[in-house]
Amino acid sequence: MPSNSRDIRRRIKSVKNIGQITKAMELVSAAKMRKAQAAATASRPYAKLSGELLVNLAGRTGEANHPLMNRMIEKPGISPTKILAILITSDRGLAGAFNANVINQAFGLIKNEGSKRFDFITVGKKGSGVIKRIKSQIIAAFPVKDKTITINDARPIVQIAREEFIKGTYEKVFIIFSEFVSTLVQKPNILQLLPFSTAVDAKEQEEFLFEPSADDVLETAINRAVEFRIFQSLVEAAASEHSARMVAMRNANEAAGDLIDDLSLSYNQARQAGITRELSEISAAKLAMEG
Amino acid sequence: MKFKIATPERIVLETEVDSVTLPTQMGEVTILPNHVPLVANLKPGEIKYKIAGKENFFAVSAGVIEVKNENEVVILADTAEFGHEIDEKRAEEAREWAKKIMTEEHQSSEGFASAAAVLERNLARLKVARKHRSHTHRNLESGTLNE
Repeated sequence: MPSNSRDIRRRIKSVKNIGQITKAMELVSAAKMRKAQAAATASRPYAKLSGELLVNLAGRTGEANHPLMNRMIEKPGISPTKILAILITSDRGLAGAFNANVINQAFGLIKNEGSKRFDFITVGKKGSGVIKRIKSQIIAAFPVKDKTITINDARPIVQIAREEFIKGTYEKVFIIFSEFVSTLVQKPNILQLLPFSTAVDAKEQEEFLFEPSADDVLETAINRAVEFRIFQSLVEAAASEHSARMVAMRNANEAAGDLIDDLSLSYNQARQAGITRELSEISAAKLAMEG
Repeated sequence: MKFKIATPERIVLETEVDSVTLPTQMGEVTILPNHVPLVANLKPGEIKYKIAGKENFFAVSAGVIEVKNENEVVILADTAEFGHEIDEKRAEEAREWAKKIMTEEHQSSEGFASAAAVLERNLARLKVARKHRSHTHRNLESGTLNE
């Protein structure tokens, strides 16, 4: 704590400025957060509906035959051992532990499976920076979209992942992202994207008519479902990012307020000490002159 | 019968209807109550549904249709828009743009396919938008025919 009253005044000023900035960032994040949260919640019914449909379809068509569901692709001479991870982070920092949590999750996965086996697709600069540092390969890097995320933003990611998976480059494809639970809670999560799996409930099979054929419809439905899963991860990550940033900025704002209170107290003390000292000096001088 | 249109972004519509007409890969189908359970591929085009005799329109892009046992029709589409939501000018521009791309030489097959999809989607949009407009005009009984 600086003791000189001028120093203290200067510090109070700079803390106030920082407080103003964090306040502004909090408001901006709050607005973005509301939108992103609404988008994340609005996408959930589709998840349920498409899940139900896939369960029905997969039970009817023998899912193991579909290249995106099949564990091992039979191709002579190719036995995929590598794993592709899609890491979804943010472009910007100042979002509390948001990026750190997701990246730690990625490190946990790497530790379990062995670092040599991993290639990455990154979304967001924070993730790509870290992956570059650990010298893993990044096969594609996407920026974070600042505007509303649509299913079209998920397509290029899916296309790369699907192509490489069908080619047999990778054994599995994971998504590592932050799941949005609430404004205060975001859960870093790892999801297996490919081979795609659905929980098949053999009991509740309805008799369906398929047009043009069950396999054709399954093809469409699976591709949609894979795209949707990426889309949902992106949307959830965006909601998490803005929530985390808003909370971080609110905390910073409160901390700035506390700091200003402390500094004001020290400032007043220092000022009062100065006044008292001057008074005692004056009266001492007066006494000496009278004496 | 229950009718639901869901896109990844939101639930677009959830209502009770008398009948639904939709474009599938195999041709147009009309679904009435107590239809056999059916799953089909949806083609970009217009969806028509009737509530109490009144027709409503929707423009959709590709997706999947599911007709369930419990008299429920679910559409999982990539995008879906009401007639009145469609910005006709924007759709027209997009159509021009798609045409231009398609006629340009040295197109990769991928670019062509995506341009073709854009064109198809926007044609459907325009169709629905026009229909919606002529409907509202008729409802207003303005006496002057549009276009």
